[in-house]
Amino acid sequence: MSTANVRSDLVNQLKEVQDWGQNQANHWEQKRGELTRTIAQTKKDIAQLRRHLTELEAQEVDLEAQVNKREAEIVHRMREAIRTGLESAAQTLHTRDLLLQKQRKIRQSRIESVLQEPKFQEKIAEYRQFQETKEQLSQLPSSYRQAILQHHNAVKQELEPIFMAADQPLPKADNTPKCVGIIASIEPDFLQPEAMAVLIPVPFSIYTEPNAGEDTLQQVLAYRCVGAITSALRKIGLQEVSFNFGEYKGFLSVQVWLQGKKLNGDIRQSLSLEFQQMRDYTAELQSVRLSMEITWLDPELLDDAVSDEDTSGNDLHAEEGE
Amino acid sequence: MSINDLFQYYSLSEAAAKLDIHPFDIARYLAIQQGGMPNELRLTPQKISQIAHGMGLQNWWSEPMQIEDAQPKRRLVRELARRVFDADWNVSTRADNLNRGLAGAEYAFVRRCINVFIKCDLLAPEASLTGLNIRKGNHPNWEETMQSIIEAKAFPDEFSSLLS
Repeated sequence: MSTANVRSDLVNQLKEVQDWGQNQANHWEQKRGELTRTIAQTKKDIAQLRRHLTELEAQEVDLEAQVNKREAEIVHRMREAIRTGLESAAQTLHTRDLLLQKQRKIRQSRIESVLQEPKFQEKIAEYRQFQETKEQLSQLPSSYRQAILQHHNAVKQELEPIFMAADQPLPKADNTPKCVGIIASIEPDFLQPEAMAVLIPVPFSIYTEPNAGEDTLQQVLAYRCVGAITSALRKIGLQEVSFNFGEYKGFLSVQVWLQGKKLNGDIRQSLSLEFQQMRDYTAELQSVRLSMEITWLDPELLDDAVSDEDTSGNDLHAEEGE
Repeated sequence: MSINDLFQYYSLSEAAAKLDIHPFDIARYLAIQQGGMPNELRLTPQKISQIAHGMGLQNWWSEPMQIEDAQPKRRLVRELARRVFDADWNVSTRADNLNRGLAGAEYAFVRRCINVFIKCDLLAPEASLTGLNIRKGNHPNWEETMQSIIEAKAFPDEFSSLLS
């Protein structure tokens, strides 16, 4: 072997380094290429995702709009349901009022048939005469008065069958049972209520134009609801509350101002119990197979009708008494 | 005389008309009595008397007016002031007592007068379950002010719109 071909260790070492450098250059060139491609791909992906995000955001806005529209639609439909429910109840009350008049006539006929029995005629005349002149009794000497009263009691006893007939509860019709809805609302919540409204499906004119005849079914319902609300409030410890009677789409709205009052109980439960009692014991309602149920609704649902309140008959300056 | 008259039953509306009170007030009163409202809303004359007594109904205008005044409105203001001045204010009274016995325009005018008396603190309202009550107001010079109104010497400024 010729020594001319032999390289020194120095050259070999340098050559190795040169080769390694070349390898490294190739390696990093490859890496850079890969990275450049990856960055380019990532940028492309980001751009695509951005476009997708923009689309999704647009969809979100659209969805929100649809949700809002749906909520508004629900409120609109709920208000329509309230209006329809009230009108339907008013119609039921009208037809059942005719039935109530019929049931009253049936009872009246029964009384009249007893009244017409010949054996009672003389006693009825005496009884009638006593009713017309009883105010003058006090002017008579005691002995006369006692004798007359004694005789009157005897007459009353003989007329007992008539009194019994008159005291009979109203006959019950065999019509299909019906139920009318009553709406209650409390603001802002049940824990610390400031105001309560109860919507009764009877004309507001029952409040503004009270008449002096036989009570219609609508009047009976209105009186009993007003009574039930009063009793419910009393049972949860409320004494000094002012009532207002307003109009909601032609119907009667009983409004109670509760702000600052301490409640010793659940107003919903108290009212519910009173209405249950009304349903179970009211002769007029039972006679015409009518019941009612109370539904609690968000006050917002009742905001669509401006309460055209007639304050002429309302409590004078009641709010100043709070 | 009808059957109802003979056997002395009245509807709640009829009872309210007899007592010159709103039927809702009777409903409110009956609802908080022992036993609550009757199963059927038929009331006997005895029951109606009990209601009148229990609710403390008074007819403030049953007696003729004593004050003479050429101006009808001022006469009503002075007459109301006189009746308020003479009333027993140890206990409050129903607000509608102050109107009872009047009708039409006089009723409406006295109702406005009562509001003005309240604004002047000569009367004060008290809410109750059976309706609004009225008590003597906290006006610092109650007696002198009332006397001035009764004698038409001076009226608080709040009365100017009423008397114009």
